[in-house]
Amino acid sequence: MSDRLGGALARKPLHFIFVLDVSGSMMRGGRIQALNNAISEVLPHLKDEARANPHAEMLIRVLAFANEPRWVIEEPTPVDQIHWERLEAVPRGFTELGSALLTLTDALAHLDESSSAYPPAIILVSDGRPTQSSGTTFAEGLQALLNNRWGATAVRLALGVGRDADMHSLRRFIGDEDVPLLRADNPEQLVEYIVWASKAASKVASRPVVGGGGLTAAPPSPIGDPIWSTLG
Amino acid sequence: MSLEQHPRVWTVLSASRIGSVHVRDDLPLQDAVLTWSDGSQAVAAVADGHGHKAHFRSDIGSGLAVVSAVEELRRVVGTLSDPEEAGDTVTTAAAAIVDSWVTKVRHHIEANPYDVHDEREAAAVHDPLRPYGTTLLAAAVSGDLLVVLQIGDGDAVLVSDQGEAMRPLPEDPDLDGLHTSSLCEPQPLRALRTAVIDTRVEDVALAFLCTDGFGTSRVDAEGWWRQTGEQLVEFGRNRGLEWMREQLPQWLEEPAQIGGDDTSMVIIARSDLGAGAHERPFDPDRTDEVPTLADTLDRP
Repeated sequence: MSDRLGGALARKPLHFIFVLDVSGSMMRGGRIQALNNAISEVLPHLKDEARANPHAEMLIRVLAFANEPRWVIEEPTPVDQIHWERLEAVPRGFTELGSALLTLTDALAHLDESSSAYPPAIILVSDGRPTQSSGTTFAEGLQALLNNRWGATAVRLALGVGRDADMHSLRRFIGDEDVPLLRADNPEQLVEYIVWASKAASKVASRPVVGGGGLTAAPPSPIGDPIWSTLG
Repeated sequence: MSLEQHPRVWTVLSASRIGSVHVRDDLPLQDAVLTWSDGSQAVAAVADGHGHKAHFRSDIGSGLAVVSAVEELRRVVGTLSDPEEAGDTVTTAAAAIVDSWVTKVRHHIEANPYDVHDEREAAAVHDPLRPYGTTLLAAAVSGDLLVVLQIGDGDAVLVSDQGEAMRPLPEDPDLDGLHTSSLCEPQPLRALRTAVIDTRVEDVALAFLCTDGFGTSRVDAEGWWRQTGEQLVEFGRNRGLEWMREQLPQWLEEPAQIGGDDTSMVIIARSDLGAGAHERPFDPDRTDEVPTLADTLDRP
C-alpha cells in the first residue's frame, strides 16, 4: 500500500477564454494587428502564470465574433501548446456579441458539473456597440451567460478598444463595479491591458474559493497617444 | 471480558498545513484545529475560515470556533453515556458553541473595532460577524459513545476494524462546492448536522475529520474518503499510531500544495489499533502541535 494518504491528486483545470471582436471596425487604425500582437505577447505571460500556479491547469480557448461567433481555439488547450495564428477582421462585419455569449454559454454548459474546476476566466475585447442582426440581443446573451453556473461565477474582465467601444455594455458584462473597466486608445495600451487582465484574471480565478480577494492588482496607467479615439 | 470493565481508550492526532495559494497571495492559514484528550474521553474540532474577501478575519473566526467547540464539548463529554440522550446533548452543545463563538467574536470586535475609513471594514459594520465566517466540524468521544456535529463543508468519516468507511452525517443540501454554510449566518443552527454512534453497535476503529482542502483535488472525487479510511486503519495496524502522528503533516502537505487550499485533519483512533504494530512505545502524554489562539488574537 502506498504511503500517500487519500490517493492521487490532480490539478484542477482553470479555463481561460478570450472573446475577441473581429468586426469590420477592427480594421481601422491597425486595431486587428494590435489585437494579434497583444495576444502573441500575452502568451508568454500566461505561461509564466501557469508555472507560478502549479495547483491550476491553465487551459486556453479563443472565441472570435463578428457576424457570427467562431471558435479560433475550441478545444481547451494548455498554454504552452498554443500556436497563435493571426486573426483577420471581417470586412463590414457586425458586432454580434449577444450571439457570441450564447456560444460561450453552450461551451460552459459542458464543463465538469462536479465542481472540480476553478471558475473560468473570461476576457472580452470589443471596439463597438453590440449589434443584433442574428436576432440575439446582447442582453439575451448576457442573461444566458449569467444563468449558467460557471458563467455566473466566472471572473469576467472586459477591454474597450477606441472611442466607439460601448463601455456601458462592457461594464454590464463585468458585473462587479469594483473591477476596473479599461479602454485602450493605442496598440501599446492594448498590449499592456490584455497582459494585466490576463494575469489578474488567472490569479483571482485560481483561488480555492470564489471571490477570494477580488482583483487587487492595479491596472497600468495609460501610455502613448490616444490615436484610436482621435481616429474614431 | 466485558466492555464496561475495559473502557475504550482513544488517541487523537492532528495537523494543519497552509495552502499554496494562501502563501502566493500572502494570506494567513485560515484553518484551525484544536484537540483535547484524557484517554477515555477525547474532543476534537477543525474549522475552515472562509477565503472570500468579505471574510477578512476568518482566520480568527476559525480559531475562535475550535476553542468554543472544544470548551463546550469538554463540558458535556463526561455525560455521554446513553445513546438515546446523546442526540439532545449534542444539539444543545452545538447551540452553546454558536453562542460562545458569537460572544467571542463580539469581544474581538470590541478590542479591534472595524475601521470605518477603510471601505472593506466599513462594510462589515452592518454585518459584524461576516468577516469571521467559518465552518465547524467537531467530535467528542467518551468510552463507547462518539458524537459528531458539523456546520458547513468538510468531511467526517468513521472507519471500521475492517477498513470500511462510512459518513455518519447527512448531506447538507446547501453545499454546492462553491458556497458553504457558516457560523456567521443569521441562523447557523439551521445548517447543523449531528450524529451519535454507539461503538458497541457500530464497529469504529477510528474517525477522521478534515477540512475540504484534503479531498477537493483528489482524482477519485467520489471514493477518496473510503481509501483514506482503509489506509488509516491499515497504517495504524501495521505501523502504529506514533508513525501516523509523524506522517500526518506530510500527508497534508501534498493536497495543500496541489489543491492550493489550507488542509487540516484530526484522527481519533482507538488506542489498541496500533497495539500489534512494531513501533516505538507510544507516549500518551505527548501533545499534538496545534495553532495557539494567542497568535491569532493579537492580529486585527
